[in-house]
Amino acid sequence: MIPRYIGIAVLLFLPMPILIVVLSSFTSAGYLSFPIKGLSLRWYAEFLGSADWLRVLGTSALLALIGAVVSTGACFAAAWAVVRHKIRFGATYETILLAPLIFPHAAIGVIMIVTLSSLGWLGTFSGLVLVHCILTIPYAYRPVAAALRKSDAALEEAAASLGARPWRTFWMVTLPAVRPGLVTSLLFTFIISFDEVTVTLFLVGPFVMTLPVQVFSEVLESASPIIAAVSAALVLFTSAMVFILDRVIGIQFFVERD
Amino acid sequence: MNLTRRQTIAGALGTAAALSLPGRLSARTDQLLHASWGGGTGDTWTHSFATPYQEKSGTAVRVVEVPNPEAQFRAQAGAPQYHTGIGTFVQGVNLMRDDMLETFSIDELPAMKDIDEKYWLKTPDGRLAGVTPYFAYYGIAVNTNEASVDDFQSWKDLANEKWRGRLGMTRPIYLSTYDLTMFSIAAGGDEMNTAGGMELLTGMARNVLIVSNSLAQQNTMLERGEVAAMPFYSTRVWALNEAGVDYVKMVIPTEGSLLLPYAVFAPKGVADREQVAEWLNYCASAAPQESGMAYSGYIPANSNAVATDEIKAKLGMDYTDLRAKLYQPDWGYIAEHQKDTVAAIDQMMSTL
Amino acid sequence: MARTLRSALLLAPSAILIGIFLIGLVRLIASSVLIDGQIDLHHYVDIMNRPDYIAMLGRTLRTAALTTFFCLLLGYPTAYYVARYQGNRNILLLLIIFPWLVSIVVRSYGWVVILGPRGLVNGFLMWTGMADRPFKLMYNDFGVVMGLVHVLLPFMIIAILSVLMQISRNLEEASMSLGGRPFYSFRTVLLPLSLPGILTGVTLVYLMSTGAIVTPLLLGGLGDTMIGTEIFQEVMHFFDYPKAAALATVLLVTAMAVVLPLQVLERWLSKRLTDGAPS
Repeated sequence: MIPRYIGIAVLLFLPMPILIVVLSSFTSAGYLSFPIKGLSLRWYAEFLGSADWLRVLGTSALLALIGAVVSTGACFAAAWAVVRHKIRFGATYETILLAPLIFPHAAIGVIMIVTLSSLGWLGTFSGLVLVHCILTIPYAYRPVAAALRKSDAALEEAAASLGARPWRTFWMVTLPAVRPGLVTSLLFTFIISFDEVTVTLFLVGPFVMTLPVQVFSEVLESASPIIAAVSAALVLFTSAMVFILDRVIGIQFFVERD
Repeated sequence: MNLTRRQTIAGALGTAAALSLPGRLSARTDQLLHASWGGGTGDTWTHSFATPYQEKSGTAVRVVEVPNPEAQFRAQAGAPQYHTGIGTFVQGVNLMRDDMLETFSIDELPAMKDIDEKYWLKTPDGRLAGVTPYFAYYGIAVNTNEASVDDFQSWKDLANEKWRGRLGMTRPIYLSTYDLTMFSIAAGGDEMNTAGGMELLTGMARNVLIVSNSLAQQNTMLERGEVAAMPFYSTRVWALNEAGVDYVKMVIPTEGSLLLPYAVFAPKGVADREQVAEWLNYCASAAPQESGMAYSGYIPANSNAVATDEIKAKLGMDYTDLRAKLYQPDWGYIAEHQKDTVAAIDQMMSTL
Repeated sequence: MARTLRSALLLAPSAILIGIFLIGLVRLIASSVLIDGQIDLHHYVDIMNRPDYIAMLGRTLRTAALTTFFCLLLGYPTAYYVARYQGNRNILLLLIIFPWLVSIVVRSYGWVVILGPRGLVNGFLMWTGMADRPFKLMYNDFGVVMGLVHVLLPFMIIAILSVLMQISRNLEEASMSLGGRPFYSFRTVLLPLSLPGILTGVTLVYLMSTGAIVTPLLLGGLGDTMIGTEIFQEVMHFFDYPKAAALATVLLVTAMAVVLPLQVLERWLSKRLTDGAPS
C-alpha cells in the first residue's frame, strides 16, 4: 500500500556519504582523496598516537556522558512529578521543557555566549555541561515520561503494601519497568551531545575543546585524512555501543507517545 | 506548584555545585597557552615554535586549536584565558583598534628590529601590539591537468568568460580583504580605489563553480580537478606539492601577489606578561621561522632568515626576489572598511 | 504539603536548566532593541533596508520548507517500512541514525565525492551516456536541501515511527478487508491516526533547517546565505553581537510564525484522537 522501495532506498541512501568517508580513511596519501591512492592505516596510527586528539575525544565522551546522565535524571524527576504527582499545569510544563527544541541552534549559540559569559563559565567544561544539558532536555523528556506512563503505579503500591521500603520498591519495581525508556534517553542525549557543533563552537576555550569542534576547525584549515580516520573510528565505536546496549539491555527506541 | 524561595535556592545551589565539579580543575599556570587555527597551522606552531622554545627556555607552550582564535579573544575580553594567539594581520589590526591587545615596547621585543617595519602591528603611539612570525602570499593556484599556467598570468584572466563554471573562490569575508585588493591593483586602482576591482570580482564570481570557506573542500576540488583554478594560499599549494600532488601549481601573476602577513598577539591584561614577551620575541626571531618554512612553507618575516638551496629551488627564487613580487597594502585601511566591503560583496553576489 | 514540597524538588533541576535558557532568551531579545538603555530599533531597520537580507530571509524559509517537504515525502514510507518490518528493527534504526554519527563537516567531504562535477553520480551518468556534461548537484540550493534532508530525515522518521508503532496492523487490515481500496484505507485510517507524528516531525525538521549553519556553509554556493550563516558571520568575524541578536530574533519570529499554528493543530488533533478513539 505504501511503496516499500522508497523505504529501502532511503535506508541505503542514509549511510552513503559516511561509507565514502570510512573508505577514504584508509588512504596512504597525505590528503583526502577518493578513490584512495593506496591502502594504509597511517591515519589511524596518527589519531591514536596524538595526545591532543585523544584528549579531545575524552572531553567529548565525558561531556556527553555527564550531560546524558544529568538531563536524563532531571527529566526523570520532572516526569515523576508530572506523571505520578499529577501536578497542576503538568501539560504546560511539558511544553515548556521542549522549548530548546523550538529555537534554531544559531540563535541558541548567541544566547549561550551571553549566558555563560555572565556566569563566568565561557570556555569552561561546566559551561559546556550546562549548555548540553539544556540542549538535550527535550530529547530526554519524551522517552522517560512515556516509559513512566506505561509502567504501572499499582505494582509499586502493591510492593509497598507488602512492606517494601520506598527505595527498595523504586529499585526493584519501578526502575526495571522504566529501564528501556531511560536507556533510550541516555543513548539519544549522549549521541546528540557528542555530535553537537553549532552551539558548542561559540563556547569552547583553552581548557576545553570538543571533538566535533576540533574536526570543524581542522576542516576549515586543512585537508588531512586524519579527520576521516577519526570519524570512521567514531562510527565503529557508536555502532558497537548500540549493538551491545541492544543485546544486553534492549533498546526501546520506538517509545509510545504520551 | 508552590515553590518557596528557599527551595528554589537550595535546588539551584545543588545543580550549580554538581555542574561546576570538573570545571576549573584544569586551569594551570606553568605553561603558556597559544590559540591557533587547526590543521597545518596548529602542527607548524607545535613543531617549529612551541617545541624548540620549550627546549631552549624551559617554558612549555601548549598550542590550542580553535576554529578562529580572534573569536576566542573577543569572547574572553577582560578575562583572558590564552596567553597568545595567532591571527591574520587584519584580525590583529581589528583587535588592536578595539583595545583588546597587550602592547609592548620595542625593547621588550628586540627581535622585531630585524623585521621590516612595514610588517609591524603598531599602535598610533608607536608601541607593538604583536609580532610578525611569517607570511604567506595569495596567488592563483592552477590544476595543470585542466588549464595551463600561462592561462592565468594576470588577475584579469579569472574574470574571462572562457572559465565559466570552472573556478573556485572563497567567501566574502576573505574576498573583501584579499581578492578585491588584487583585482583592484590589476584594474589600476588599489585597496582604496576598488571600483574597477569590484567589476573584475563580479566577473570572477560569474565563473565560479564553488564558494567555500573550507580549505579541505577547496583542496579537494583543486586536487580532483573539479575546478581548474582559484585564488589560493601559497602555503596550501606548498602542502599539496609536498604531499606529491605536483600538478597543482602556484602562479604569481604579472601584477604581483598579495602579501599576507600574520600576527601573534597577546590579549590585554595577559597574565605572566614577562614570559609572554619572551615567547613573542622568540616568535619574531629567525630560527623558528626558518624551521616553519621547511615544515610548511610559511615565509619568514625576519630578514636574517636564510633560504637553503632546497627551499630556493622549491620557491623558484630567493626570499628577497619573492618579497619584491608581493604587494603589501594598507591593512589598517582594509580592516576599517571591511564590514562595508563585505556588505557590498554580499549584495553583488545576491544579484548574480 | 509534603507532597508539594517533593514535587517542587523533583521539578527543580529541569526548571533551573530551562529557566537559565529562558532568561538568556529574554536578554537576547532585549540586547537587540536596547542600546545604552534606550529603545532603538536601528538594527531591525538596517536589516529590512537591505534587499539581499530580504532575499536571504525568503531563501531561508524556502529552503526550510523544501527540506521539510522532502523529509516527509521520504520519511513517511521509510517509517512505514520499518514499522512493518519483521526482523530486528534496531539494525534498521542504526542505519537511520547513521548520519548523526559523522559530523556534517566530514560528511560534506563525502558529498563532494558523490555529487561533485567529477563525482560518482556525474561519472555514472556520463559513462552511461545519460548526460554529456556534468549536472550541477552541489554548491547550489539543491546541495543545501540535499545535505539538510540527509541530516534531518532521521528526526522525521523517528517521529512518525513512534506513532505508526501504536497503530495496530489489524486496524489497517480490517479496513482493507471491509473493501476499502488501499489508498482509501490509507487516507481514512492510517493518515489521520499518524497525523500527530507527522506534525511533530514537520515542526522539528522545519525548525532545525531554518537555523542551520554548517550545512549551508559547506554545501551552499554563491550567495546561498541563510540567516544562520549570516549570524555565524556576524558573531565569528565581526563580533557584532547586537546585530546577530537582531538577526536571531528575526529568525525566531519567522520560525514561530510557522510552528505555533502547527503546535496548536497538534494539540487539537491529539485531543480529538484520544477522545474519539476506542481505547
